[in-house]
Amino acid sequence: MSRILEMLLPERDRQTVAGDLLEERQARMRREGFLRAQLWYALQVASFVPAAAASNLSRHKALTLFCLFTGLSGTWLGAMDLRLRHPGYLGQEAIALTIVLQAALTLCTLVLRLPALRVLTMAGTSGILWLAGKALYWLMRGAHFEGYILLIALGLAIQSALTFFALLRRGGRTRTA
Amino acid sequence: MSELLGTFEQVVLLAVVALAEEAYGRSILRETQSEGFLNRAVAAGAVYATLDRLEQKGYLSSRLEPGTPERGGRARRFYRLTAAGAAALNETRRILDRTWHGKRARLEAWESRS
Repeated sequence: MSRILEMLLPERDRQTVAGDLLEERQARMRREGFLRAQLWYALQVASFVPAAAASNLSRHKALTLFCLFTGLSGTWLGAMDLRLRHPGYLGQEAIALTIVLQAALTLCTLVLRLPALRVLTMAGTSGILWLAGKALYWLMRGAHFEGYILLIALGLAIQSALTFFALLRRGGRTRTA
Repeated sequence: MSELLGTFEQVVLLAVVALAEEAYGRSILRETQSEGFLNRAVAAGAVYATLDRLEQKGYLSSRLEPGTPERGGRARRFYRLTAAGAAALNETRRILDRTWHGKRARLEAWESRS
């Protein structure tokens, strides 16, 4: 939890704020017990998420927008496949879920910048880039054209490029602003 | 003329005034939650975001002091009200007093009717 807090804080406040909350948690442990103090601490850590998200995501507006687009598209795809239940719909559900999870994972990585999340996001990005390539190849070779698949595949390809650019450029450094 | 401060900004600045030399993150957080202030739980994220904003506006200044063992040796950031901060607080109070003047009784009468 302390590690997550430090990832959410700007470098300037990292030591001081973490120290303040640690000090208050110790005092609460003595007064209220371990569990209540831990719960209080977890809630305080969570209270830093909106500011960190606003600060970090605003610096990656294009990537954030593409993640929202692909995440919503994946949700729509999943809902439609679940409703229509065409043969092999479970495979389509898995693809839709992958798209949604990758969008969520990328946004989490932009906010938290944990090294483990970064590696996972890079791996997932390679996966959705492959999915986008496969979809575009299918569109070019297919007998009929599906506009929504083209849109989602292009969205995934651009999201992948922006993710690689954002994560490789910063080299996993934590935010300093 | 100073800008009109928001309610929570006033609370945080007044907590810094009340704590004087003891105004650092944790004590400010506790003070804002105390009976003399909001008398309810306040999220630390909101307090620190407000402190940062007030410092950027020049209403607070800060200095670092060495940490203690109970905080894992982490430094403390102490805050102090600046002249601009005091002026902003006084200006806000003057504006609010002027705005409220003569309306309090009417509002209470309206409240008791409804």
